[in-house]
Amino acid sequence: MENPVSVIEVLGPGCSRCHETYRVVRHVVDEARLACEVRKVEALDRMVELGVLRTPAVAFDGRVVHQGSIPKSDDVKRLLGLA
Amino acid sequence: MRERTKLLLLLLAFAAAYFLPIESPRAQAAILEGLFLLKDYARQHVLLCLVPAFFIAGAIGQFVSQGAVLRYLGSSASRPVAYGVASVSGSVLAVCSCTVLPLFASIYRRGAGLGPATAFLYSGPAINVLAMILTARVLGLELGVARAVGAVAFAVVVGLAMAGLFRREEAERQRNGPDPFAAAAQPQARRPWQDALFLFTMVAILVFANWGAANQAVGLFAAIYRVHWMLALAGLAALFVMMRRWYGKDELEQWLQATWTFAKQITPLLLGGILVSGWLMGRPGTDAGLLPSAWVASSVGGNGLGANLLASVAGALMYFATLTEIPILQTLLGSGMGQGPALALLLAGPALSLPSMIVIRAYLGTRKTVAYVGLVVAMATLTGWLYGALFA
Repeated sequence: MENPVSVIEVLGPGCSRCHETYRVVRHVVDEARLACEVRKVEALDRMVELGVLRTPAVAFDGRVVHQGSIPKSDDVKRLLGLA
Repeated sequence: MRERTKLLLLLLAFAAAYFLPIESPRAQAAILEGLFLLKDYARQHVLLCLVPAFFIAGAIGQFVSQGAVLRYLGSSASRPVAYGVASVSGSVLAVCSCTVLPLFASIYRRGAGLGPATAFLYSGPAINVLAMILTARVLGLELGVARAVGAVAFAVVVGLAMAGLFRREEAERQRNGPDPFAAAAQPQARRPWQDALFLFTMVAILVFANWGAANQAVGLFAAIYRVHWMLALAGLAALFVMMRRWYGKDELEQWLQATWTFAKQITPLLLGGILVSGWLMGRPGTDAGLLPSAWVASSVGGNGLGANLLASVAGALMYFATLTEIPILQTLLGSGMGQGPALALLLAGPALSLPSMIVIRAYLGTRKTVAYVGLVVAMATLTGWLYGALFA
């Protein structure tokens, strides 16, 4: 299946919730064998740039798709158009 | 881990065991004191106070519309409103400092500017529901109320002072771009009063379940005490009706999830904090901890300006995990700390710590950080001193 997302950013200042979010996203991407890059972003400047107000947040190619909670893996799949 | 590190750790553990001062009666008593204090908390404060407080915090995080609050912090919001919202929104938007920083950065750069951003930076960790409830419960209603009022007032004053001090730079700095705050509003499933009533009912349950016996056998307080369990149960029943009528299964599940996240995050650290404060200072009223009460009384006892300054500087530098400041203060008060310095520590402590200063400095620069820390410490000292003079 065609995968339109090339860079996924997981944004958060490095607390346990953000690590958990990264783990969930990583897991979904690995499981579906997507060829996209997953980045863990801790720079506040990048969060401001993207307009992230609540963390943890997830952005696809610079577009914030989820913020304020740890997403479930089903949520991530849905956002990626896999489910 | 490298082999040499392992050897070093092993040697350290051995040295610690070898020199363990367990023969000293003071050390033996201190270990027991820690356990006594832990039991005391488990018996008195966990079931009726901490557990309901977790549910309330979870409900606030889940049901209060964060989008509606955030709109008032954007660049288009009016300044007085932005200050007001920033100074109380900590209770709604954030419980741990790691959520505060990104939001602070956004308010500063894209939103209402330096003043409201610093107001929020202060209020975020300083005004959270869990801390207010437990402070009032453990340290007494007066100190709890003083903490709440002081924290809100501080947020506004610190924000205004920062905006005034740096007003020239302020004008140039704000970055343009889409205002992320404008889009933050989400559609609402319920009317605001329904969520408000839901929260109010939970607070009522908390209050009635903890209603203490009055001194006299007659009067309103005694009358309520006689039926306080019935009132708490009635509240609980009302809560269940509301849950069935107004809230979907998904929402309730998310609420439970949020509550669990708080409990998981906070409880272990709190228990550790209780144990350590018990070791160091002993239970209130005993002089059995590792630190002699006389030390505490001589450094932060009474209500001198020096004692207040020491308490607020120490509070500003130390990192307190959420809620651990409460057992620490309880044991310090028991060892002879004055009421004024206690409030000073509560006002400067949770909002500032050495680690958070370093992060803030990276974002604001040295001058603004020094100004912010200086303002908080100076105000905490004066407020503590005033409170001590008026109430103690």
